[in-house]
Amino acid sequence: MTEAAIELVDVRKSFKIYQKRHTTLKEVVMRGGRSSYEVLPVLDDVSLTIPKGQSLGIVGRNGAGKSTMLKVISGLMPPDEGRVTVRGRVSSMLELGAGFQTEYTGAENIYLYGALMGLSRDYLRSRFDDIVEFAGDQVSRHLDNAVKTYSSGMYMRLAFAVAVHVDPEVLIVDEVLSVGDEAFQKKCLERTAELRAAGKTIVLVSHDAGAVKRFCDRAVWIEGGKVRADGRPDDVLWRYQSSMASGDVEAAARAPERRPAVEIEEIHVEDGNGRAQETVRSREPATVRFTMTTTAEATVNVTVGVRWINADGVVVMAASQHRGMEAGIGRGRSTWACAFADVALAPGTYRLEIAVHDTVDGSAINPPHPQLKINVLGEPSEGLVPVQATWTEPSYGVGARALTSHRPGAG
Amino acid sequence: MAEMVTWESRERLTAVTVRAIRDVIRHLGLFWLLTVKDLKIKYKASAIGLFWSLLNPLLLVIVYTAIFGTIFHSQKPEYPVFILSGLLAWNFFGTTLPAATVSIVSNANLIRKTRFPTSLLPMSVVLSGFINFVISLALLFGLVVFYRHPLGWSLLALPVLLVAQLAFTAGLSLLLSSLNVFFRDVEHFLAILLTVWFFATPIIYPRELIQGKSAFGALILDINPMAWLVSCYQQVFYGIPQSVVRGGAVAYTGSFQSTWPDALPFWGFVLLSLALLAGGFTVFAKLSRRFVEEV
Repeated sequence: MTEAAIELVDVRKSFKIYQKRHTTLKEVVMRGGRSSYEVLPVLDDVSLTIPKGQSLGIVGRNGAGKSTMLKVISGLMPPDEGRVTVRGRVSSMLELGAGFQTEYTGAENIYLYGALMGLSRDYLRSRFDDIVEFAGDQVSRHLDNAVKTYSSGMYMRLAFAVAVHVDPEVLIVDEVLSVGDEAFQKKCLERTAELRAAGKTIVLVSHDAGAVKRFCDRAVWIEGGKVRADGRPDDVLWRYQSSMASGDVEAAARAPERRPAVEIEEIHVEDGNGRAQETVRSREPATVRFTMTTTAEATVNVTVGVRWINADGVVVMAASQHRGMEAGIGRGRSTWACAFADVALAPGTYRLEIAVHDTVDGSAINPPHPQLKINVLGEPSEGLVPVQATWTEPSYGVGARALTSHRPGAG
Repeated sequence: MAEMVTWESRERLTAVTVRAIRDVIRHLGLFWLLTVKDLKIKYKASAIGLFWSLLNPLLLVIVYTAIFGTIFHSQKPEYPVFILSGLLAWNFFGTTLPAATVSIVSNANLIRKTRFPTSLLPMSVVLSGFINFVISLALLFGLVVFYRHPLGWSLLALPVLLVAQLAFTAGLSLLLSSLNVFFRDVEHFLAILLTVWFFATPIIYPRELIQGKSAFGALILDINPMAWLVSCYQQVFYGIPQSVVRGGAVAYTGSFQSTWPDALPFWGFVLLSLALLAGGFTVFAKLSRRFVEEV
């Protein structure tokens, strides 16, 4: 059982909607401290546990309570009732560039905005070049200009670059992935995926169903301040979308599960001789075996894959079910094997992941499965893959002089 | 072990305050950046920003000296030194307090979206005003040298006065800036109050002018902490010339030099400042929990 990164226990939050925007002293004096307002419940008894390393997507209509939930988790406002516990350094991206000083240059804003996000000057100085590089060429050329001269795209890129360098353990993202041009969005999503693969906890609010399906292990649908559905992204999104179409929240929340639930029960790795191993040797054969259970009808619209992910979260080696056999999973319990003829991995520790994808829309089903870490042994190498390379002595052209003639005792 | 934070609906006031103090200590770097930001904005806009900030009190001194010296025929010797020793301190207080009071409301968007110790906003306004004040003291020292006015060991009381005034202004700023989130009247009320307060403080007129004439006026001077403070500054920089009240006018005799401040206003102000800082910070810590939804 992994530790919970975020825990909400019986959280309630309501807003006072004042008849007039601000209470005035006059009102306080005349009414003896009571001003006229309506109480609007925004979070109504929400309990939610998000384990460390999970990426959770929150979906729901505007005004359903999503942003309030993020603010309560970020510690921007305390709950009216209940308790919120967060473990680890939090980076909240509720609005990019909210702390920017428009009169300041880009470089000055990196320090100020970074400090607002809780980073020390020394840390920012050491990561400065990375941040600028991430923000892109356009920003780095105008680093000494006031950000009021920046385009909104440059503004966003700079803000996002600082925010992702907070090196958070918990990342809270509100819709910001849907701003900027396509290239920037792609970069944001890539970075988010990297953080996810590196085992960070991510809470994401998005209207983009595709993003939630691709990036989240789990989704929660909030409506009227209550959690209406909690589970696999594809199922939760389907409920949310059908409630939007039919207008019947209760029916959508209670509908039976739509897709086969897939669960990976066991994974292990065998060497070329069929013996279970905790380590494998680089450049030698290995077989990944796992058992899987599906609880619904067989489906042909999915594909199964095995991924080897290194310590930096990079998928270094992957094999998908497409290759060599028919896609799909039958019903019930099944045993699977994928033989790698040549483990072409540099030595190090790898995480094995069994990935299940919907072949129609490309979304991940993300079946829960036990973590398996495998050590790959072999000759150390600098790159991602093991090397077999041979150097030949350089040959020199006319007029060139080989290095040997300079060596002492060679002339 | 990762750091763990718990947000609860109700927390004890001491727990809230201790957390707020710890939060400020952890963000000292940000505190300084925000202070520098305020100073930069003040000075960056014009090439001779520092010059402007010194010119304003200098002009006021000339105007007040002209009014009181010529029109009211005040005989107070070295009048500019007297005025400036109170005026600079008042300027710090009177310009910083309104700016700090609106600092939370005017940064509403930042506060709604970013979690950081919001107390740094009014406190950095106060600190940058304080730095400006300390720089402007050069003007006063220049004037003292110009008049060849003797300064004594009592100058050692100056750092204590400066720190006490910093604490006083910070405490009041924390109190008013957090109250202003809930009652926007505070900033309007403060603007009026400061105008009255300025004239209820013996800065441009000598204390003796009131004390001999009006019992009510004397009472105001006795209960006004800024009057205590300004008197202390005046004693440290200026001193107490011998005065006689003759037929409604004050006449001065003999030479004089700076003295140690009177014990009662001095220690009274120091203690009040510390109490105000502690009280202001606690109220701010309590109220700041509701800033995001109220601002």
